[in-house]
Amino acid sequence: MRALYWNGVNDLRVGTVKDPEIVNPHDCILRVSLSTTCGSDLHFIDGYIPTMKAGDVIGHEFMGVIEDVGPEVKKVKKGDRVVVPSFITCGQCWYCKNKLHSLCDNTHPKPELQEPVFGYPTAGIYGYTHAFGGYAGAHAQYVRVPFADNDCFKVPEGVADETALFLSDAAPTGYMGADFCNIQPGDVVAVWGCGGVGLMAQQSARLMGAERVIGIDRYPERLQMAREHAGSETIDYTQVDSVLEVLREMTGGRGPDACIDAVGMEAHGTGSQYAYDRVKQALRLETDRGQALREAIMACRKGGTLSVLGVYGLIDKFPMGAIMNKGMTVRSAQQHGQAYMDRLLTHAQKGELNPAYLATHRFPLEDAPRGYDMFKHKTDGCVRAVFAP
Amino acid sequence: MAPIADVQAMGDGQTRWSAGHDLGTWEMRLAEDQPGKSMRWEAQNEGALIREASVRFRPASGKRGTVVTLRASFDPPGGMLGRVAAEMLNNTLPASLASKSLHYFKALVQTGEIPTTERQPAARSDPR
Repeated sequence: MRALYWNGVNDLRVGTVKDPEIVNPHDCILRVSLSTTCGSDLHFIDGYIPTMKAGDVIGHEFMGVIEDVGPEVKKVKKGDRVVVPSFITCGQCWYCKNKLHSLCDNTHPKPELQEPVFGYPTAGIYGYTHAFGGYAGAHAQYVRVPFADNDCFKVPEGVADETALFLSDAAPTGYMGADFCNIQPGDVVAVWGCGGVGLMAQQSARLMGAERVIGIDRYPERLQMAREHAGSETIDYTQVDSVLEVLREMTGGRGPDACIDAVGMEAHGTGSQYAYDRVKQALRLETDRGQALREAIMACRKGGTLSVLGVYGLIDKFPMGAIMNKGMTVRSAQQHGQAYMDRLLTHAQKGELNPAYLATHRFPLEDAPRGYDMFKHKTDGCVRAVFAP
Repeated sequence: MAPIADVQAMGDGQTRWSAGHDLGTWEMRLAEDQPGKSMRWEAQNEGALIREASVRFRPASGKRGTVVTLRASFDPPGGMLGRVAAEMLNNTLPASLASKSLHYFKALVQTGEIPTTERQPAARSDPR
């Protein structure tokens, strides 16, 4: 089959690889209908997350049609049109039973690569470094999905492929990030980043009852989407002296009740702090440029909530004092998509949350390297590149 | 014990252990068996990679299942330690291998399968 693979830092290629096969009894093989780029992919493409191997098939956000099932698969069957959350979960362990799916105990084949860094291994994920399991990814014609009964969710009629696609990762990540904020009537929620996840977080915050949502980014087309689709007020951080000051003014001197970081380790910014991070990251003295996260911490009101969705490794100059002394609540996780899928499919059916507009650019799989390049550089207003094998 | 060795039961408390990577096979005898509590194996001859291994079972707090403790005494033959580290252990410590064995055992008991990247697609000769 044809697949997109990582050949080295900033070197993606499409090639012919063997087809996946059913290895374990709960596996299924999915014929991929659509897959999409995720900002978190850029971190290992750019070489900031180690443990990629040349030849790894990448991609973790996808949907498709079940082609074949293993002997122990009972609920889903060949021909089902399904969406699959990016984290692989067994459904049997303590973490799955407590709806902490991305922390599943039983789906990481290489825990020895992750335990030294995090203490305990997370769930495995498709196409996202060997530290996260080393599973083959979904930018391919076919992908093996372990624990198919637990991880394949049937897409109801009336929900288009382009909508279901983003229920794999962007939508549940944003939705979970808003859920973390325990939003009360009247709350103001600020979201750093208006990419796929940030836009989903803004729409979700609105659905959960936030009175005002503020989106922060530098790309006019993304800020426009935030206004149009989430009803957000927006801040272009390149056009203001201080995001903190603007937020303070917008909230009557109080600060947002909750701040969501949907940016992660390769934040862009302005000023001396950004220059400092770029130098340290270039010298590999830190893995993360953390300007968005630091700003979110400083901006948040006293006793407010910080919800971190951006991916981080080791960050420098982390303002723990602001978190502690302001009595903030910090919530974070890789997405627990399985816990939110029923609600998200219902929202999609009712038209309350339709992420299809994120698919600004569509390519055949053969052009996936170009798609990633446009996505990375936001060429032509690219929010998400979608691939159809 | 998948990451360390394949173990085959040969009946009558005898087991054959194979470590792969030319690290040999050896036989161990079940020396202790307390049903529901513990099991212990001892190597029969010199030159075994693992001289002694035991597992113990006790209830976890909060009714969260069973805590399994694995102890394995690695005893590589003379001059082999370097090869062990370089080849079989892939530069991980025996303790980390023991931990991985338990990780796989837990997955097998809870789900009926062991997580794997065997035989998957990749644009290289060893796809794992």
